[in-house]
Amino acid sequence: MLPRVTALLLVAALAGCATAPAEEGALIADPYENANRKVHAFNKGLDRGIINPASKVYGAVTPTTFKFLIGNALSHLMLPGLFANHLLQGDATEAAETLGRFALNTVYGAGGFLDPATEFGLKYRQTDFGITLGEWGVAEGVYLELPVIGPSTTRHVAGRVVDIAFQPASWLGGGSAEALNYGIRTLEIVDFRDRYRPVIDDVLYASEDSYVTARTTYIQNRRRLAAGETVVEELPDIFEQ
Amino acid sequence: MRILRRSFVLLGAVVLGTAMVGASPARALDEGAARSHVEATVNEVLTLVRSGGGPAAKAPQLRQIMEMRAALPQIARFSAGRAWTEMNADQQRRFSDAFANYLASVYARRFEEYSGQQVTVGRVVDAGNKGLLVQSSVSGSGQPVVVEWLVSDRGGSVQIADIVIEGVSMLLSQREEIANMLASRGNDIEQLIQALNAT
Repeated sequence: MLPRVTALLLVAALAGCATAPAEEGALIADPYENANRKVHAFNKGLDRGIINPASKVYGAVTPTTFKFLIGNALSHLMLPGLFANHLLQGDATEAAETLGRFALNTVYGAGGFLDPATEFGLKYRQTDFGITLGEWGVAEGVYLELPVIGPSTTRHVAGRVVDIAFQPASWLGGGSAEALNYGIRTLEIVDFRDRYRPVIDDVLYASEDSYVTARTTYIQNRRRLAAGETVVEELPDIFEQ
Repeated sequence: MRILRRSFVLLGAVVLGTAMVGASPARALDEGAARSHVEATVNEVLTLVRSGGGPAAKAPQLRQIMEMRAALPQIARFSAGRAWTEMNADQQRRFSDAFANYLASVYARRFEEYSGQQVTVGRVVDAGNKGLLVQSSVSGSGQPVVVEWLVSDRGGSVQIADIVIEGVSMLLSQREEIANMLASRGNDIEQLIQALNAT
């Protein structure tokens, strides 16, 4: 508990300090580009060597029904955190929807393996503590690429640390809980890789410099998530002289 | 005298009033036109993607669709970023040509993955002087993907100015990538053009 709190405070402090002006025309400041590129190379090797092959096996071997159930269960575990974050962001509607979704799917969705809530209009409303920090006025920070996790920003890193505390698997203690935790994390990675295969393959293997592609894709997508919709002001004006 | 002056004032007011009404830009591009342009483009692309053959064979046809449906000259200029002003007219022409080939190859490969998908065109959002943002949903297996089409008529006809996939603008991404390709070749524009043609 104490190491976790220390880590949280450290990262929060980092989020406050690590702001550098972006290069002219660049989407985000990337002062750690050299280090980030090394991590990117590592992540790509990891994907090529382990994650991608494992996800292909998962995709081929797992019946579609199982993937459906697993996908639902993994999202279900995120709901308590989502609820907390929507509340902290002052989004009463989203918070209420998330609470309703959690209740409905727990009771009528076999503990979250099924998803009747979506048909009732209680959709999964993605957010996280990094977005919450943004709502509170914390600046984005700079671009970072993390081992295994991939693209991030200083603010998002601080957010992730807090979000881990919100996940039910973290509330259990003891050795078997650790094993369960690792099992869930592994499943999340493999399922995610399989589910978003076209996009991830595109970003990592279809461009000349996957580092740049990953960075620009991540930052733009992240900003859209924070804004809730595509921000017209940030779209390019190709007819501008 | 006073009557004459009053008439002049009245005439002046009428002229001024008309000029002011005429000066406010009427929305030339309407939602219907934007939406049908996107639908037509989507149909052409899906027909091409679903036809036989690999992406390499489809790239030239995709380029033709892009030339017809999108503001390619302006897109090429935007994607070049600052480098555009450092090119002479001949380089600009060759860059635009190479870039169009490059784009067609990249998207021919990308669209291959979407051959089994359904595209549903939805609402239209006003993007001010950038045009209209036509929203669509691409669904197949799993989560539907939000794809938005920025449509403008500032190029003289109704054209696609950008494609935004889950908040990621294809043009902003291309500009970063071209800038990176140029930088990794020592800012040599000829090498960049060669690399684009080789894709």
